[in-house]
Amino acid sequence: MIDLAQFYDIRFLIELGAFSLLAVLILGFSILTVWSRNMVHAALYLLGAFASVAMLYVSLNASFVGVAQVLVYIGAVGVLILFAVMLTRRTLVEEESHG
Amino acid sequence: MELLSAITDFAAREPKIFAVILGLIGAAVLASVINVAAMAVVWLERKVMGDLQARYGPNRVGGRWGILQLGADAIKLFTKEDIIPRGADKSVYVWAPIVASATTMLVAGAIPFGAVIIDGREIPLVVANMDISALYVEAALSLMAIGAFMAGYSSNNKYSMLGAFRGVARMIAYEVPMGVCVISVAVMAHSLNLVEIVNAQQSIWFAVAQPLGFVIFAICLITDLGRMPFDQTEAEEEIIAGYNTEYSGIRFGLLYFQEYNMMLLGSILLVLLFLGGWNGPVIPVISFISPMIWFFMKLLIVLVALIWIRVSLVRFRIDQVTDLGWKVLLPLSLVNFVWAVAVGLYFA
Repeated sequence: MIDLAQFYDIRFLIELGAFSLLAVLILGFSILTVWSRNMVHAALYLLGAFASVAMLYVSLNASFVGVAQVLVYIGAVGVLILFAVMLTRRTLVEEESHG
Repeated sequence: MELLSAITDFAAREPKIFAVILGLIGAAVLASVINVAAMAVVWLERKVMGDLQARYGPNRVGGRWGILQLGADAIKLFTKEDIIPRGADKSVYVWAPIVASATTMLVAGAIPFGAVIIDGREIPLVVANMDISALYVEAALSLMAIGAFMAGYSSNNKYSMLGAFRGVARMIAYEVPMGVCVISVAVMAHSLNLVEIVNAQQSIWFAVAQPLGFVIFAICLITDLGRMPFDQTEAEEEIIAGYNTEYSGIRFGLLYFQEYNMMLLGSILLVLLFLGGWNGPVIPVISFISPMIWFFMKLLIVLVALIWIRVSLVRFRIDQVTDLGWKVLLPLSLVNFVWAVAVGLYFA
């Protein structure tokens, strides 16, 4: 049950706005990751989703988990994925965007 | 006065919202100050390089020291034509400089830029004073390769792509020893907060307590900044200009400034972690800013040392660089970590 009175509290509105923005970002990036036909674009969208999740952690006052998310998932896993994509066959990547 | 009392009133009533507003103002000030400071660093580099190579450097615009040269360069970059090559991956191409400069702003947010003494209390000048700021800065530094990768991949140019390859390979190799060095410092200081780390160095600098870690961190820092002995990502003789070959106008300007922003922030990080930050004897008459004076003296020495290294050493091959990272620096940084734990336990 939502207490309507708290909608007049600006702090609640700020929190709600931040959460909604991050939720839209996470969902949007995740869907784009799956739908993208270009592998490098998919990897970059995945990095965006990771970054949004890190921001969500920070907004929940769990800044250590947020920083660990950036360090492990963007800094290590994400760069590793980019590295792996660069080593795969270029024809798959080329036909969509370049040209 | 009325305005001031109204502001303090508001701060007392709504501390969280006041903190948000203060943070936004701090971010805006930071973003402008850091870019102007980077321009000063570019000027310093050109001038010092000129001295070291027995020539003048900029000396026409703005008096005999050429102080306004960088302003003229910035105006030139703003007004030049912005060319996006045909066949480029346009959205990634446009976003790459934005991601690159956003990374520098992320780092700048958590780094203390010195301290001032008010009423006998040291107040560090930092936008976000977090408990884990050293780890946060390390995480933000690891994002640097992504901006360079986006620029290199999207340009649709083999030289740019080679620069991006080299950048990512190098970053993977050097991020690990750098992180281990930061953790060694944190073990000795009993904190991951950069301000606490500086306070822990009041009796002895960490450069003295763990000289091996200092050397490894300095080498990794030069590599991360992509400066001379390690600038394989933009080696002019081999791959034109690496990942920013195709960029022009203000997009190139953003990538270029990002490098110098990072040089400034990396030097500040080295001063904070290993050279005692703003610690130093209090200067009597101007005790208010004496920490700032010590801080900037150390910063200037580190910056000039970086420029000196750039003009005196030659470039390594990329395989030599990755070999050095994985086979030499990583084991040595682990040795340094064991040393830090042992010394930390002995003196605890």
